[in-house]
Amino acid sequence: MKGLLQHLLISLRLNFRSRQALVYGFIFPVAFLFAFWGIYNKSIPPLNDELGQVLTVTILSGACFGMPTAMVAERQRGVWRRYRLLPAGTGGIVISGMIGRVVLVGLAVLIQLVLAHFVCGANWPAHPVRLAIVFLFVIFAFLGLGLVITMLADDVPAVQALGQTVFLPMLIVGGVGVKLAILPDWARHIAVFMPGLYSVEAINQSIQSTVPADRWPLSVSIGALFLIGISGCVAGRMMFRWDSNERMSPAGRKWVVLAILPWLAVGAFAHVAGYVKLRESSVAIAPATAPGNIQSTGWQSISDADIEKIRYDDLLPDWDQVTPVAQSLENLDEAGGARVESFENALNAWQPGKIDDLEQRVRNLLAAASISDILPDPQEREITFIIFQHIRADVPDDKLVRILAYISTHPDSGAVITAVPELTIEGEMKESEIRQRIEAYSRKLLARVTGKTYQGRL
Amino acid sequence: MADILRVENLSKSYGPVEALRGITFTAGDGEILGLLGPNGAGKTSTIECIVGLRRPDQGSISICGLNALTEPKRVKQRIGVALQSIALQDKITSREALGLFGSFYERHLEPHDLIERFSLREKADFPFQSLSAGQRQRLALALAFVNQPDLLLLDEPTVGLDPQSRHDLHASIEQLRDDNRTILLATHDMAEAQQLCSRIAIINHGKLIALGSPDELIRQANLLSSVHFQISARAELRQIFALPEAREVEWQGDWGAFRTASPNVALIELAKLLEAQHLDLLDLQLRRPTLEDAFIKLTGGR
Repeated sequence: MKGLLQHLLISLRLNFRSRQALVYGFIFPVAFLFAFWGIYNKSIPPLNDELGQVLTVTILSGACFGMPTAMVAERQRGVWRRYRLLPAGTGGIVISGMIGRVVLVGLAVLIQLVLAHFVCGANWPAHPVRLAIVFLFVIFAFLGLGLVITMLADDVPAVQALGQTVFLPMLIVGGVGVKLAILPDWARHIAVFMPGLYSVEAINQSIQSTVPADRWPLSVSIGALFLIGISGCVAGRMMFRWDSNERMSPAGRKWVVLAILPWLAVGAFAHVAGYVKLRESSVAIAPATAPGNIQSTGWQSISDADIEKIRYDDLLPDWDQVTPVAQSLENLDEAGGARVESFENALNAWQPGKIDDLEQRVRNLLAAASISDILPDPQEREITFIIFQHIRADVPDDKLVRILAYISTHPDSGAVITAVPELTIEGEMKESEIRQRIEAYSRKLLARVTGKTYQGRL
Repeated sequence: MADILRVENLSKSYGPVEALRGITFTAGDGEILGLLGPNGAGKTSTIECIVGLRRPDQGSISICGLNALTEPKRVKQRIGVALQSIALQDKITSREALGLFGSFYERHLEPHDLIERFSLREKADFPFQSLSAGQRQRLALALAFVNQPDLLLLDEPTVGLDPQSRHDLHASIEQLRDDNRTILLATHDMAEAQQLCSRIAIINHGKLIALGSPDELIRQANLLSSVHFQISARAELRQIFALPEAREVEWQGDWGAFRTASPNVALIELAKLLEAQHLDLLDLQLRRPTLEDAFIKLTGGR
């Protein structure tokens, strides 16, 4: 035990003497944090939805690149062979190396959280103890994977190649680098087979004060991570080799299947349990048909301070061609008056404007205004004016300010309607364009509710 | 002398290649036993089986009365090993390595004492990558000695060292012998084996072909001493062929040479003959057979 503790301390000390290890272990994660902050700097509080991804990348790279690279390099130069002559158990040295990695990655995560708070203005994690526990499950899962890579790879270049085959798919279609919300359907179906998504979900549920209703339970993510971790560790143990010259038998390689099986199992479970569908429903299915029990709750995490941070000086004047808003419904000609009246009637009967989910209801209404603006509809200004009035009459101000603040700072959130023929507005628009307009309109309406002004407000 | 190491009928194959074929030997308390053999003879395989790096296909290994195959952890507490090349992390210092390795043993020496003993003070706090080959080997020896082992296994510890480093390392090994440690030294350096080892086991093609002290091995090889002499007149002494102890007589100018199993007797007979012929002996060289001669003969080489 004393030997393993000493080994752990020496491993940590040696890590801090390696410039390469410092760059990959600490500088890169910090750079990655700032890159995310640069991309998602509009969200309030900053990085609230992204820290799960940022921390997952750090843990994933530390466990699947950092640890195998260090271990394979030591094994390749014969250090492990020398350790084997010591009266320590087979797994002792490896477990000590894994614990060392937990400490190093934990430190990198801590640095990221501190910088995210003090530099980027992110909130402290809402549930720090839960986050610490989740971190252990996440790194356990990825270290198991890292151990399998260590045993498969003969040399350091092989670690890089194997690591990339795990890292890149998770980054691109696994919900780690690219948000699940903006992934296409097919990718969302694939993502649930990958541990990265469960890591992002579990971390986000530990960082955010309120969890949107479309998230699966934390226990599902924890269970999936544990299963993936334990299978990786068992497979790694069975494939263990002290020496690079010790070739792995074909029977040994079969243990890789054990490491992969839980990926398939948790993915299949997510499909059977309806988690993929649940996630789709809030993202892709038309909001009017969304199940009544789904409530978007992201807006509840918005604080008064967050609302105060929102700026209005870049909004276009209300008389502009883009995002116009009428000052009133006066001075309309007869045809215009009739058109507005028919729109109002249709709006009152429009189901997407009546759904239980308040946040989505407001987003749907703002989407209708946005579509009329993009077309453009001859009465686009008046339509937006009517929609603004409709929303204010429908949603209490204390909730509305938070909902509007959330929508404006999370432009990728929720689902977006791309056509509203029921509202006598013909034509279908691109989702990305509608989201841009929703973002601007949400701030224009927020300015009205909170009494703020902007240049050209009518 | 109690047996510290007992190897019996050790066999190991790598696929179709039989690396060890029923090797049996013992090493007593305070003895340096040399394991001598050409490259690929099975020296390293023998050591790897003893220290637990490889599992033999057959045979038994007992160290300090413990079964090395069934009680490897207890055995590892009692042995120290220096493999052919020392492998450590580039950035670790000698002091850290000694502290780390020592912490795995129930009894161990402090890094400071080992640094002094193995003359590592100069580079004790420098990274491993900055150590010379000689310093690395001394560190390897210090690491092997960290637990004050009853049995030390050294696998070609002086390969690639300059003469001074080699001399220093020999001195360290002799010091260990003086401490009454049992040492199994694998080498293919005859001079090293002859200088350091009390007994030598010669292995060839995975088999133990001879075991004994250097003198016993030379005797076992049944080798002759050679006598070279120079006389004052250029004359072939036919009578020398008749000397009972002289064989393979050769002449080259005023130099004569013969081989003999009894140099004492042969030299007296030669002196008498020269005296009788009134010839002066100008030069005389006696070359006794070496361990290398015995090794070459026993292993069937030239």
